[in-house]
Amino acid sequence: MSRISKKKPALCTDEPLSNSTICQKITLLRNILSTAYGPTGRLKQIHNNVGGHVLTTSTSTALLKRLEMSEPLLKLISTALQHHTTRYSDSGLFMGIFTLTLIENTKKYGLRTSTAIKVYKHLVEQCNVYLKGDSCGCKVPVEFSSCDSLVALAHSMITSKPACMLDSRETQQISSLITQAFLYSIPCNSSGTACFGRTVTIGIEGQSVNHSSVFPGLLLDVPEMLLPGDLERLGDGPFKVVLFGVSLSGDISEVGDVALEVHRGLNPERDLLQQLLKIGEQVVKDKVSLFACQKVVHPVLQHYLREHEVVVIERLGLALMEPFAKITGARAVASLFSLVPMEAYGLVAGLCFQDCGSKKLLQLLSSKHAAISTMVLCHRNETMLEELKVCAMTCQRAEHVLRLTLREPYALLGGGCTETQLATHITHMNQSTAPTTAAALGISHSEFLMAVESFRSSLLAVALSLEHDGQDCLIDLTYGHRWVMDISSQTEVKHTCGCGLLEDRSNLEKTHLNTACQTFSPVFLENNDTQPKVLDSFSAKLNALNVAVEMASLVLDVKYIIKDVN
Amino acid sequence: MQMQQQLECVSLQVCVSVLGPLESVVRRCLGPEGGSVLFTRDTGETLISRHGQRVLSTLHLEHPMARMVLDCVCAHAKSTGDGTKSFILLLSALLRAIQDSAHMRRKASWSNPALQNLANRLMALSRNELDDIIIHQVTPYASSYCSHHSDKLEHSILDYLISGYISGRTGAGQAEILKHILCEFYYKSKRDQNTTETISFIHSHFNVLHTRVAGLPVGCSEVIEGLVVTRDWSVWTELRGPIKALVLYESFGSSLGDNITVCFQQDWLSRTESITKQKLAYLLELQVNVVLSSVKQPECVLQWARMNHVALLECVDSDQLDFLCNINFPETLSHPQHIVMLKYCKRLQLGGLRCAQLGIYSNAHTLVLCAPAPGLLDQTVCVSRGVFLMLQHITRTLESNQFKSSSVDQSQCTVSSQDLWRAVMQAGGVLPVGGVFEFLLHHFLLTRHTSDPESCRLLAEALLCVPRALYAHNHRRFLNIQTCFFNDLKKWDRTSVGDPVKFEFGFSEGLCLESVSGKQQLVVSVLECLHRLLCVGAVLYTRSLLRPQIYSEEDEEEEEEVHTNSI
Repeated sequence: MSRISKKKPALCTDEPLSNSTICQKITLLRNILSTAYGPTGRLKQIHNNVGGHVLTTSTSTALLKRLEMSEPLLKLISTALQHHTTRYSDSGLFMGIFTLTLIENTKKYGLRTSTAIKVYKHLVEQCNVYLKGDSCGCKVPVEFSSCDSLVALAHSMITSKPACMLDSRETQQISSLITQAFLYSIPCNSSGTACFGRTVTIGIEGQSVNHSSVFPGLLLDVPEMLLPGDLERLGDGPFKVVLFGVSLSGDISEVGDVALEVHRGLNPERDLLQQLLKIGEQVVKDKVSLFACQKVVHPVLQHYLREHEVVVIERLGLALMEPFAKITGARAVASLFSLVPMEAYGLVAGLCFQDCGSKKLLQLLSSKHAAISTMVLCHRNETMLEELKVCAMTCQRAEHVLRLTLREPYALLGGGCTETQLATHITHMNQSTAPTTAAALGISHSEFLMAVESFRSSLLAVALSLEHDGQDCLIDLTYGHRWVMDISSQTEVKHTCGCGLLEDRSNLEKTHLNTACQTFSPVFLENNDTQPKVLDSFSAKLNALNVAVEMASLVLDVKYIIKDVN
Repeated sequence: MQMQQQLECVSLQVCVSVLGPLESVVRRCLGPEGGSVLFTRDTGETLISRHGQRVLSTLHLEHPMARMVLDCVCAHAKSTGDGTKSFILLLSALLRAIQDSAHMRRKASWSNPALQNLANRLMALSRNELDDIIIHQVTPYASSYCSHHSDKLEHSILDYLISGYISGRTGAGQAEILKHILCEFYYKSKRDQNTTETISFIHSHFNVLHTRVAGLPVGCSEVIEGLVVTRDWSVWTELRGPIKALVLYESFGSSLGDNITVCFQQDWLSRTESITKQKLAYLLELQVNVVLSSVKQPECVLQWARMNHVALLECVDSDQLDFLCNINFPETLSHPQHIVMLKYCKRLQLGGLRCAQLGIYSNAHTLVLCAPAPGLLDQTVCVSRGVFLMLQHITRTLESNQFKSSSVDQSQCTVSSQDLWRAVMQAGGVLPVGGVFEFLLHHFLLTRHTSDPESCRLLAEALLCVPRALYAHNHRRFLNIQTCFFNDLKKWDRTSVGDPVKFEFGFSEGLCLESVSGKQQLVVSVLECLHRLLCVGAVLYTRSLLRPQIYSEEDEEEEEEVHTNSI
């Protein structure tokens, strides 16, 4: 009889948000996130106390993946944040800071949670209407005729990741490379449903960032025995390609987990090799020049093929199978015992060598304009491969953000200007209609105003956390943009607002952020020639705003925690 | 086996103290103003819920009495899908009331036989009087209330029922969105089918008919035609028109089991491959365009699909495949292989992930539920499932009532789809939420001339605890509502049945409804549970193995409740 252990009763916490340790932990997490926010955000080092790997980062994804949350409420916020970043790749920190400050402010203003939830819900809907509407001042359309705004978008993505350690020229280069890769991935022939191409990223350490570049087609590691002479002997393309999806190693382990009983006189391995060589013969007869296999190719077969001037690429790996099939049009062959069907063959327009820093790579050029490109990223920092990976990851995310703009061709003003404008607009909107809205929501007038104030100051808190050097943050009382008071440098350079859309004028009245001021409606700027320099992804930020409010409501709503300790 | 037994006497005091903590948990998440409960496990799972039954069962209750209450709660929830939190509140209020009444009589406590006598009388009340009150007093009130507000209710009674159910179970922000999406889901699934059938169809296949997407706000939830499989096509080709699809439950290639010996012959490998090829060629003869498989298929099947423009979907949930086969009258090839017809096949983007969409020849739609975190998603799914259980309970009671009343006229039993909800309304099957039922029952119990005024009073007083807990944050509002409501009731009492009554008592905020039958069932279940509790004299701890249920309801004798603690 198996022994059944008795279950322990669960541990309970009543009213978790009035618990001081939980509040401290919330504040701590908010501090961690807000100090990492923005281009001047402070880097965070994560390591465990027994040594080992040290990670330096300021991105929310890397940060939260390593941080073990002890508090279930924080764990909940952390998972929501990670889910958001996997989908939208941007505005993770914005979401985290906004959620946590909303929670803190609700407590600070002593709001009843159900009231706060109702009002926040109402306000976020107003934000959605405002941001999606035409009269929104913090939204700029993305022009696809010129790539300025695309580069600006990518640029602000890269600058907000200070852990990449790029100087301004390098940042400029990387952001234009990302835009280039993005443009490559848009298919040219748009018949029927268009599908995005792929950008394969290769990282190379030890080279200066300036060596990074984008190549059309696919770049692969050069097989060991291939010499430049071999390619010359092949002549001009196009070349026939065959792609195998099964192992050609000649092992019979593929059969499965069964015991094999072999009769005397039979040699299954030799039979299999014979079969492989038959494939080789057919491939040579069909004039194939490039022989690729996802897994290992038997050395004898390799040798045979090389003798017949066929370029062999083995161990392609699963990740590269799809781009390879796309670029060549070849279909992966899986059977060893029948002839390779004619329609399985593919074509490449050309093969050539590319020198990328210390590495030699084989470039496959597409014959059918497949939207596949390869981005080679170099970074001078030899020792820290990790940093390079973060960089590569960042670039992929930036590209993803660019793709999102295709769905909604707008970008939001960066540099905190969106937050300040949104806060101003929301406060102004609700000033006059407060009594009616409060009655409709079934709460008192003063409660409603308090909740609006809490929402406003949470938005401004996000804008405030962009600044880490102790400078003053200001908001102008006409347009509602965010300004940084620069005391030290009194240079001739025209001072602009956070997003770079506005230039400073002497008659522009400003006040400190987060101080009470007269409400006003931000003036809508029309026919402006200057382009904003800092842009944020529209869809990512909109989703972040909504998710943040939802998560804050959820956490505020929790009245009881039950902890199962079994 | 040696038996070591321990005896623990159970008194009223024990019951009250056991229920106290349960009540305090449940009270936190009652009604639209209540909060939710976060549940965590050491494995790192987090779950958010307002669902009474769920919260209670996660507590891992130790005391046998508490576990017995939980059993009763579960049994009740299973039939109505509603009212678990009110169950605990009402039960503990009743227990407290019984205790207090002992104090009032200046007795230290109830004697055991007296308690049992009371329990029996309360049971009798629920069996005889309650039905009478509901049929002759509550239902007429409800039906005249509904006809008074019929202009508002006419077309959207279902919406109000759903929002009444949801508002107590999700956060204020999500309730509105979820209501719209569930109504849309229902109407799209229904089209021109029978209401009752649709509801029971959705309820029984809910697992297959919904998909979860984490990481998006709840507002992104939607209703999609056909069936959604959360996997991308392994091999995808554009297909048109009616499509023949093969449903597979096992690997198509050579199916070798574990632990067998293969005698290796000359061309064994090539022979197994050619067998697979023959099978695949046969599929082409059958004009199969889509293969849906519950397991991963070997590489050669993928290649075959790529070469022959066949779409292949692997790792489909086998429940979904069963569902497809069940609604489709499949053509069976050999045992585990079926052929079904599909309207279309599509690719779909759900929150950044590619999914497959299968169009089927029925009204079935898929409910896509989104939430920012998995814990929250669970709650949303749970609530959506509950909605259809609740609706099913309403339609079933209506049907059984109609069957009882009009067994002669069979044609009336088959109500047309639109009329079903009107019938519910006319029959007085629904009342506004927010304690109306409790107020009504309270009033009618107190004004009734019965043989047993004591138990009536006990129940009537205890009933008020539910609305009191609902308005716990604002006691003045509770008193306002109560006086306003009783004024209305007095007016209604004076007028004869059939006269139009003017109800001053209205609900300014969003009107929500709940079913009377569910509420009645709640009172009955609570009284049954109370009866069980009061009949327990002692708890006997034993080490021998027991059958899961040893107490029976009919046992009116002193019952000894026994639970195993360790085996």
